[in-house]
Amino acid sequence: MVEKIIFFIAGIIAVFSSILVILNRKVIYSAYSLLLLMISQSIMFFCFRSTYLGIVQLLVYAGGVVVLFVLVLSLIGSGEEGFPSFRWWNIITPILLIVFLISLTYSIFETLKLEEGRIIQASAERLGYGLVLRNALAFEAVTLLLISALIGAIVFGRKRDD
Amino acid sequence: MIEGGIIIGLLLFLIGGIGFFLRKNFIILLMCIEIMLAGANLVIVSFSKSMMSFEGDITVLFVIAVAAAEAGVGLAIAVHMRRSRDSLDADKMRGLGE
Repeated sequence: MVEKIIFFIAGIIAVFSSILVILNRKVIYSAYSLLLLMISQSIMFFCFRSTYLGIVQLLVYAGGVVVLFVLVLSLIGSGEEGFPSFRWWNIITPILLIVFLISLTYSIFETLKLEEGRIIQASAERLGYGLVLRNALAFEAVTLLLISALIGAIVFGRKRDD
Repeated sequence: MIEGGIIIGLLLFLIGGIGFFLRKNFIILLMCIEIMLAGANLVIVSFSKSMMSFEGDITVLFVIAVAAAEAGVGLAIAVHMRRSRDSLDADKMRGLGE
């Protein structure tokens, strides 16, 4: 019961902080709202008993990605942003997205029977066995992806000397 | 709790998608992609918990790794953009390969 209350409080914080991300005029405040979103999502993972996932979320997102955002913002400045452009596709596409997601939610709750039984704990040991025994190829592919992303970031970020 | 997780995840995805089409700053666009990925992660975990499994958590680990790689490359592109054309406006993002 306490878990549920904490979960919904964290969910409300997550939704409001994500709204703040897209509404703030200053980009640095958006970055801080993103940090709040990541922390509350990690709390939600803890309430789902995915403890390892919550810790990874906290380390990688709150400790890595958001700090990278803030670092880049303080390095290059946030840049001037004019008024948002209201061309026809900027209006039509969010409306289509809203309609699509409402129909998706309706169909999920109409067709699927979600039973809330015992929530299984996803500990680090179980995740480790699952990663190495059943998903070894994908694991290696992710390492290759990370290395190529590192090379790409270095190539893009270096100073041009021509 | 599982239904709540699915609804919150879909809301996060929706907010990220709307922000992606309404804002113009390149770094905000990257943040919107992160919000959408976070919502998708929450939905994946909720569904896998409703099936009394933890396979979804493994998928979410991969998604987190891919999102970290994407953020790194995207921010490098932002730095490159700022150097070459002195603006972070996504509408002026043409011919980055020159």
